[in-house]
Amino acid sequence: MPESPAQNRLKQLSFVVLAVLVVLASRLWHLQIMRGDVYEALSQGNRVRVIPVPAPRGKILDRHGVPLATSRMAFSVSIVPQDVPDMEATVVRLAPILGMSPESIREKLAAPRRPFDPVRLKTDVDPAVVTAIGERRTDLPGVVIEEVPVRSYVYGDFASHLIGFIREIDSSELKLYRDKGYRPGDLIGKVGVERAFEEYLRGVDGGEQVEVNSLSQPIKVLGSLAPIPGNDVVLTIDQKVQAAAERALSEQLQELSKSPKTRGAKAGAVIAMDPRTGEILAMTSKPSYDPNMFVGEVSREELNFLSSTPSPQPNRVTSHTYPPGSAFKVITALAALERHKVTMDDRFVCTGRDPQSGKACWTAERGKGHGKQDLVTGIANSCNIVFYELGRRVGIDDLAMYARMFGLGRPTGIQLFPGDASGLVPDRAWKRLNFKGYDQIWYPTETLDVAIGQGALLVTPIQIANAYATIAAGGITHVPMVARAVLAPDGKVIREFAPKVAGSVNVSRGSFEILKQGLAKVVSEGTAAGAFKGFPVPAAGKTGTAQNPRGDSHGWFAGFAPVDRPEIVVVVLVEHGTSGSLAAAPVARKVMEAYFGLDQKQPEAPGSGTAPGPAGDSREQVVRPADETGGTMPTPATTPETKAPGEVRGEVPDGSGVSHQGPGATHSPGVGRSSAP
Amino acid sequence: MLLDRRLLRNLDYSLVFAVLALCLVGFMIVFSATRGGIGPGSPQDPLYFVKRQVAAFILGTLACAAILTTDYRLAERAHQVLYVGNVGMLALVLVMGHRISGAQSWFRLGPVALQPSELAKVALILTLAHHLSEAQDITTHRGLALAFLHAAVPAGLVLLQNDLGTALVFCGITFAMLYVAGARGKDLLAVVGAGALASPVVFFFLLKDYQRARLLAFLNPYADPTGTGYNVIQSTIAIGSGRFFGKGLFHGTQAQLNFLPAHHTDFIFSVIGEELGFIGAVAVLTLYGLVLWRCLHAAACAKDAFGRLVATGVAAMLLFHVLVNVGMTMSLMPVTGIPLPFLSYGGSSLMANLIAIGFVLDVYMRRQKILF
Repeated sequence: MPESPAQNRLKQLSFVVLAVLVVLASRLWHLQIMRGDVYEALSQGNRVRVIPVPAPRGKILDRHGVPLATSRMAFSVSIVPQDVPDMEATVVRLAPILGMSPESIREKLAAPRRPFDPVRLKTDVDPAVVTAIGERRTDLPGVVIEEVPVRSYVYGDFASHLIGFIREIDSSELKLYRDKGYRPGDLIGKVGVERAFEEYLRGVDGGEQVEVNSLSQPIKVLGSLAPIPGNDVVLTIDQKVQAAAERALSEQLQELSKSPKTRGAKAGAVIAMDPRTGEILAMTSKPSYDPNMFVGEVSREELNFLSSTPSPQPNRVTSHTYPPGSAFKVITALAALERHKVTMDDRFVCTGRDPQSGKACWTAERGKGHGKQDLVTGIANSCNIVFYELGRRVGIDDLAMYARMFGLGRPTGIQLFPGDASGLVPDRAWKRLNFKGYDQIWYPTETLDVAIGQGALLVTPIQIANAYATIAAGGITHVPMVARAVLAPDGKVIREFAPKVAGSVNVSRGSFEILKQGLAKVVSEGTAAGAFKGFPVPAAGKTGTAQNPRGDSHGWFAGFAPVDRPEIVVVVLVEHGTSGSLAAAPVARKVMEAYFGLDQKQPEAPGSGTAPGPAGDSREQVVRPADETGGTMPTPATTPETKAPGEVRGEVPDGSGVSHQGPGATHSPGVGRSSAP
Repeated sequence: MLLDRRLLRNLDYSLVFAVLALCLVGFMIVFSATRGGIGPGSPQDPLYFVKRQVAAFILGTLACAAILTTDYRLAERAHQVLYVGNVGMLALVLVMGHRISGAQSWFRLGPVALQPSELAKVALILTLAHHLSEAQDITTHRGLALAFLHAAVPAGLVLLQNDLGTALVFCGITFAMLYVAGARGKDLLAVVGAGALASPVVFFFLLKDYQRARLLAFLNPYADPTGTGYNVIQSTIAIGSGRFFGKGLFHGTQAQLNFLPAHHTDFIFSVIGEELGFIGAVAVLTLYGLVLWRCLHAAACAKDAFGRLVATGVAAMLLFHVLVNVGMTMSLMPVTGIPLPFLSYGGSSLMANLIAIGFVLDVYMRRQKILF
């Protein structure tokens, strides 16, 4: 049968049908067979969501295991933008509940993040806020309450610069740490130990794998991965010594600022160090802050406080540099002894003025001099005339060389963040490099300035501590260290930090002996005698009163004890304290007292978490009458606003008064200690 | 008896089978896609959508049976009523219609929403078949223009409802019927060419913003993955992740978890691809192939031009729907909200398609000119 034209065209149409179906089927083949695995993975991503479960951060403990920084659980309010049908309405409703402005919420929502991640709006909210949100559940779709671990600094404003704090990672840090698995919104140590030991303290976040529907509502939990808590860092800090340092410096600054003569004394620094190991026993910088303020939102008042002057932010022990004043004279004396420019037979006469340069001794204003002195009495009196002469004899080149030998002019290498400052040791080369024309000339009076720790010389308190530790240790320099060990959450030691010898100085034993005699005399009958009156441990040290262009002189004290077998070096700086003897030395004494257990402590009956030491601890608990020190009840915290822990240790070293808790102390971390506030 | 036994013997059972099979698959997939609700405010009854779909199927089947009892040429005789009624309905829905997702194409009758544009397609097929089977010479330009004008009135009204997809179906139907009716190929090509030339004007001046966005999303769905491109991306993921055997009925994660929008209506093929896999999807396409083949076969066997053109028109309509809808779910075609015949949830569409199949069956059943 011949086909009609219509039938022919219908046939063509059926080919079109076939072609269409083949095209569709091949597309199916392409999507489902050739690329099926890709799309399957994509559909899994749609359906399965990982809800991060943050790992608690490792604790920071003192050398005996007393917790200084821990983690506690807190409520945080987050929003899952995908679940919010009307973001504007939700933000407006939520803002007053959280006490935030709608703008600040919008700002947080606008920050970059991974899709489907909840955006954390506020951490550590009151239970009342949690209840309020719970009641308005239906009005606030997509708003979720999470329980998250937050940092808790047990003693509040306590070694804040050393311990540091954590905050949300910022974009520049994110770039730096991307390889280490940090995500926006993660917390990271910003300064201090929190930053320097971030890799140990930070745990591994866990996650809950949940199947969700298109509204991000979890349907079922597919699996969960428990977070791995961070490791604990055991510091070299002794909580007791630290508390004494905090308290002594705060009280001293308070006291000084009352007097019109020393009104400018508002800031200072204390560092205590074990010269045998370089371990830092205490480090405080005032003014300071309570790192707990960084846990939630930082309030306006807190921000104002942080930007007030003198600034509470820098760690004055490591970051600020000061002229060392007379505290530097130990270097001048050693250089002169080593270069044989002085002997114990040399005699100096101080009339109040240097006959050659016309420069004055500090006694000049009283119209008289120190009279006839030898090197040891010159040190004890801190007589400038003696040290001008020594400086002249030694010359700037050797003076600078010895200063550098004792670690001045470069960072000590302490493991903190930010690292410590270099300071400045001026010499001819420095002038040549940094000045022009006639200013490049090194003038003889400049040598005299450096000889008494003035001029362009600049040091950090930790450098002075390190230099005095070298003297105390008979020439061996250690790298100052803040951490002894890293412990796994189960208490197992993961890493131990051994003391690190940085080097030894080429100074004879004899020179050290003469210097130590002088330093001991400073404490026994010299410039620090008043402050150390009745101090039972033989101590040595040097005061310093450093003139500076910013105002009244800074007060320094650097010393160690016991003289013959030094265990502790203490350096105190009081900015604009006007006198090392009056402003700094008394603080150092209190720190030493705490170290040697001379600050009378009574076991506190109520709330005392103190348990006897471990079984092997043979030390007796000695309760001393309170009247010996005026009956003040010591607390580890230093300022009224800090959280005073309900713990006062009942133990005091045995009667000898020179026992101490050195590195070999028998406390094992965490045993028998309670820090419940 | 109205329906002669001998006539019933001539019924195209393979077409009946294919259509029934597609409808059953439709019920199943609509149930799978809607049993867990389709988002906020969905009805409690997991069978809500299936029940309504089955009701539409029963009504459609009754209509289909009614058509079979009468000679399809009855519809030819009523062509004027059909055309005026069709245009009137489309005009009426513009004036007092109900707006659903941007398109004003529904009449609300109590719990039922009726979409006249679905029935308008069938009406157009019938009236255009009559128009073309009359002694009009569509090889002349005037005849061709008149034929286009015939289709343009209802198509234009549909376009005014913002229903671009259905308007395009009208075009597809018209071209196929004109071709089979004997229009010159080069004339048709010239019209297509003119349309292509006019398309920039249409794109920039006549289309609504959302229609433009859909077309752009088709060109690059990932330009706005959470907005206009979202449907296409989710649908492609759903189909692709089905792989060879599918995730199993009721186990399609994309659809079950509502990642896939409109997955019981326009994107039902994605659910088929995801849950029934390549095998299921190809089986469905094969059923469509069977339906289309039988429609074209009916056209070829028809005893008169009207019957031939009606069957052709129905085939063209179904083909166009399948191509555009299935193509859209696999990002081969831009997103236009036109349903997949017999499968997509939607009573108007299902009934219209069953009525259309009724006419094809009738044309085939009454193909012999002399009956004994």
